[in-house]
Amino acid sequence: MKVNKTIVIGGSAGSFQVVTSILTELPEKIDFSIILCLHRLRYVRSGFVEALRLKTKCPIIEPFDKEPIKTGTIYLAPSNYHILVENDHSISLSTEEPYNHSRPSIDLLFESAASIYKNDLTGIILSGANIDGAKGLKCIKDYGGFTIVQDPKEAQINTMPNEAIKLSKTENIYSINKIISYIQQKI
Amino acid sequence: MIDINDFRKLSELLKSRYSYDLNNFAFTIYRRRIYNAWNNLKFKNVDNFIQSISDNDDLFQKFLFEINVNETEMFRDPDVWKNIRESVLPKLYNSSELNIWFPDATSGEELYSLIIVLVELDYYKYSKIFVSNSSILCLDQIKRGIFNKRTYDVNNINYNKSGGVGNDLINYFNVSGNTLKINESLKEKISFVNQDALGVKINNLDLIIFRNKMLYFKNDFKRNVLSHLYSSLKDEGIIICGLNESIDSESIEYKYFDKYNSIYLK
Repeated sequence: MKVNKTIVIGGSAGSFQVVTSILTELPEKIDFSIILCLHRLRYVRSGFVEALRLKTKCPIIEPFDKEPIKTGTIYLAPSNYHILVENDHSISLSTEEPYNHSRPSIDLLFESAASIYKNDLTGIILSGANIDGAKGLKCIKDYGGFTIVQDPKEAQINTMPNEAIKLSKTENIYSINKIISYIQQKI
Repeated sequence: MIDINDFRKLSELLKSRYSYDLNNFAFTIYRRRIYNAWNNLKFKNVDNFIQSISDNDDLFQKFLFEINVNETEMFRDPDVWKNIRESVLPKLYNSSELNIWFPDATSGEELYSLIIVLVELDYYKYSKIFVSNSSILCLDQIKRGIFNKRTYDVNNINYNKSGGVGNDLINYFNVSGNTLKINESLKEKISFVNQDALGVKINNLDLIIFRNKMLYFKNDFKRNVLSHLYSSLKDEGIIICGLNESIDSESIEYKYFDKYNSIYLK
């Protein structure tokens, strides 16, 4: 099973530990890129990417607007911005109104990535307390991408995974270990 | 979702009829905003919309208002506003006129935040503030100075974190039902200019506040606008951008005043 060259991951409450588990298992060099859209406090500007950086040897940054997306790099949505993918494969940030009560919104990232990367994209939805990301995951599936949802039975809060499964009808309901295995296949 | 051909058709029309070039703007964001705009304006399809807007200035203005992005909150990024209060304005103030410009202002949060700081520093009487946008409806929105009550808590928290001395932001507003209206006295020193940034010719500005506006520009257009803003500043004038906007890679001679808070010096 091929791991697509871009992976977008969305999560909210309860997803931090899952993300750190995933990051811990990554080697220094990966030949795909990861974009993380994690709901976060709007005015906590620093500390988050620094905490994640401790878990991985891969470069992980909060990008500037219009920064080119580089293979091997992990991107974390900065606080109080939406993060999207632009046609020329660069990061597009936005301060538009919250979407699904969230800024950053997972739907906005997933929808933009889907239309650009199409079947060369994997979308993963993790634990969370609202329904942001469900429409976005469906969009990824509709464009031919590979979709994964964290098993609601394992998720700290299962609202987000349940809604994502319901809307996208994905068949890939994975435990954390299986998500990690999937990503490691590329390595 | 608007497909690329429809986008092209609309671009050509807006450029020829209204001199408004959609190709200056970030495509992924604008494509969605255009779709939402003509939906909100109750058009069922894009051909319908194109036909209607082709000769209707009123509709064009409504469209422009819809696609412009409102600002998010007052005193957004309180650390930046603390720096404005404690470093930027004292540096620029020289007991004569303080000339300030807000290019492409849309909803007034940034403008009124600055005015409140100016008032609290007792610099307001020396200030001349220019606010510009090609959208007349955006300027009207700013002139009204009306904010929804549910934004108050966030704004007030930001205000207090940024060193606000007035105890509470509510002192600057009149409450009426669900809305907060900024005090009229805070509007005295504002000049409104109905032009896009490139069309505004002002020189010797002390300060330009331009936060999270270039997110919606393509790179080339961003470069042009930054170059124009640079030439509008006096020497040692200051421009403030959004935290995650960079002007590092642009070929302009801005220096850092405060890199962490995206504050630059000419």
